[in-house]
Amino acid sequence: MLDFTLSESQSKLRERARQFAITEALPAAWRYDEKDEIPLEILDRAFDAGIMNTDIPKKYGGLGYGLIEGALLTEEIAAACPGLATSIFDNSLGFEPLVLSDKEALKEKYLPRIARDNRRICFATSEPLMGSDVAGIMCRATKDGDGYVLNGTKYWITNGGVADYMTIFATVDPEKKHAGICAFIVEKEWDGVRTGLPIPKLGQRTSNTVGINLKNVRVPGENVLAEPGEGFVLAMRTFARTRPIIGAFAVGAARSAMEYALDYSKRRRAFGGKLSAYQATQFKLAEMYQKVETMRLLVWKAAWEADKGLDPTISASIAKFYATEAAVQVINDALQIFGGYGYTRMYPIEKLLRDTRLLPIYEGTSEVQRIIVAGYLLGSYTSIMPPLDEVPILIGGGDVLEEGKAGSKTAWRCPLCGYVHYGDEAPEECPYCFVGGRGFKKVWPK
Amino acid sequence: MERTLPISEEHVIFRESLRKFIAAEIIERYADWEQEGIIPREIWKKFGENGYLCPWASEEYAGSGADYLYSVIITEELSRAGVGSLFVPLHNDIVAPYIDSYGTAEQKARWLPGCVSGDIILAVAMTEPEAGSDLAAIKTTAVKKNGRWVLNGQKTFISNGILSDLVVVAARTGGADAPANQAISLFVVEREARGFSRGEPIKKIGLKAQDTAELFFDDCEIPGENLLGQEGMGFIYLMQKLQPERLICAVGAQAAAERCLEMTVEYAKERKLFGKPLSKFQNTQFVLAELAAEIAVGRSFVDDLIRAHMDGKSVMNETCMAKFWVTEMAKRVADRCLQIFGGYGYCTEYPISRFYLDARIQTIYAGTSEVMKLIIARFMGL
Repeated sequence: MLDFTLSESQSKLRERARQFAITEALPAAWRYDEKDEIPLEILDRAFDAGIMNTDIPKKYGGLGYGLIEGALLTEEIAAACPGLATSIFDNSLGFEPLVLSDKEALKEKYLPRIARDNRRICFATSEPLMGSDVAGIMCRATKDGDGYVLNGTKYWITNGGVADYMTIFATVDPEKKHAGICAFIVEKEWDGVRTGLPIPKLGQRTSNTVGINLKNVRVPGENVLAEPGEGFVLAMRTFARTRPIIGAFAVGAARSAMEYALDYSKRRRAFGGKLSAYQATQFKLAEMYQKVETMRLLVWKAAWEADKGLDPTISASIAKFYATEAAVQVINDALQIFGGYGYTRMYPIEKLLRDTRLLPIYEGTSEVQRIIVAGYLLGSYTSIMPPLDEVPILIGGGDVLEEGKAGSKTAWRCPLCGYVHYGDEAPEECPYCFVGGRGFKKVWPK
Repeated sequence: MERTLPISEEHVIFRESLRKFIAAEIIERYADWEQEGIIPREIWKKFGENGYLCPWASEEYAGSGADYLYSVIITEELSRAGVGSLFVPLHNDIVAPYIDSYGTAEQKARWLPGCVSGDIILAVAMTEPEAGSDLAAIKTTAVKKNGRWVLNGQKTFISNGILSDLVVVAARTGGADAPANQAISLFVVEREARGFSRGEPIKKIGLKAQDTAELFFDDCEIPGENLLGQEGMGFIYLMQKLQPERLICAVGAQAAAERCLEMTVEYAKERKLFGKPLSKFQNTQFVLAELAAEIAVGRSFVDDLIRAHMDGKSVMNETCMAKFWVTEMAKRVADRCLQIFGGYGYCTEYPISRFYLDARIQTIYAGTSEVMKLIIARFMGL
């Protein structure tokens, strides 16, 4: 029942996103990149076009789409401008913890405003001195009556300067690490909330990134999103759903770079032939396409797991670090095909490279994804193959497999050096490494 | 590891004073120049006053007659400081040598003292919109008329394109069908030549303070005596000078990679994550160890080639290998170092972001990596 066909509504949604990407996002991308400014009017139009907030449940006024739809949309927008895609899809990151939480009253209060009134919400875990290490949060939450008072600074906050609401992660005590992490919905207008100047960045200049300073910000009890001890898990569950989307950014950006390189290689001549006629170019293009396709498969798999209600954590990490690293490589190769023109701002590749370089860093660096995947492998992965000391490596004793043939049918394996002994009994000692025969394991017949 | 080159005490002092000079005159103002897309002329004058321009020029042209190591030191220090947009190495070691090697005594006397003082800034114009690494494909023409040369055509990606006072231009003097090694000649076009104009600086992903521009020659008339060397020998001259040009690219890239690693090691020791310094994680250690090994390999190769070049040996094949491998290595190093800086590396306030962007062009300019491989393959008889 594995099936890669898109439903009719998914196809239509992708068509809508493609239209928006080409008619709205693409023409605005370079202007705002140059200005180093988030194009709020394009965000408003994305909202009107129904390609923002698509994963808010219908019950709260949203479209109720899943992650597959999110991945389809994101790929298209990122193909036009990865920075703008960040700006548009940051809302989903901002409200995801709220959607995942069980705070019904809070959902009813905020989600409809986001879905219907074009309110923006940002997500804040990172701080100036911590990023991927969420348990290392320093921003302080102090109990105050039924609510809390927040003090500290969040950093690297996408859309922080333009959001109406903020999902703030803090700690009741940094010493408590994971157990101290809690989360809150904070409104920008509240006393004590300040946002900093946009941080100057190498790329993703069409997205807004700022610091948020919280000074004695009083959060009422009803705006507590996660009590101490629940915040860390909530952040991780959020990332498991947003990381596949970062992979989709990578797919879109890489796909564009490949298409542009394909086009250019057919136009440009060198040493008497078109670039596309040279095998070095052809092989590069083939590898680029191979990467785009494999990236998308991993992204879709992770999104599919999430939509099925499975835990997508591992697939999401794999998709994120594979796709984002592959995208940087594809775009680098494309830039090389463009030669000097690729380095100029007259062609679209340099911006793709600058925008995409952030992907292996934000929402958990590639290194953090490796930590997660390695932790899973070493902690809870179940192997299919038998344990090493039970693997029937029947070198030179192939006849034991044949019924009725003369000779012994039992094989014994040395636990230390792997030597296989054939006989009714294990040997007294291993003729290779001298370990005693009692440790030998019967590996055949099973 | 100590370098194997014949470095004297004078060289060491020269490097130290240059480093101080760059720190005092350039580093703080550099971000402004990146915004403006150009470096003020006065900086070039200051370079000249301090003996940092064409130090190799002989004393009769106001130079110091210095050895090639001084050129190496200048390139390395500019690269290390992350101020690679200041194309002094292009002026010193790529363009001025054309005048020195192929110019007449009169031409040298006329131009070299200005190159040394910084009154004259140099550029070389080979690349055209349709001819980059493939030099034989250039279309700009030069025709002799009444004892003067008339140039027509367009050049692009010309470094120092806006600031340059003298441009060494490669143009076709033979017919369109003539073989390249007989059809191209070199000319010196002066700033005020009629019919010579420049486009706006080209906007680029990196080297933001470098005034790269397009040049236009529209019935551009220059005196007959501005032909450099013999007519029809341009292609050969360009080929002869490719060794030092590509070597200096490798020298700069190597120094930049070394500086990236230094900065990253410093950062990894300071930055704390999951309760301990980043430098205590095995991933950080292994990445930095890999980079250190690659850098050491590059250093040894580059220094060997510097020495061979100083000894007057022809090491074209090896120089192409170095241009290809070292610039690719430097790009890799900048990328992996940026990753260790995490979000801060992506932030333009951190110099590693500039090293990253500036590194990207190096596998493209002065012959792409692909062209280097082509040449290496030819040396293997393939």
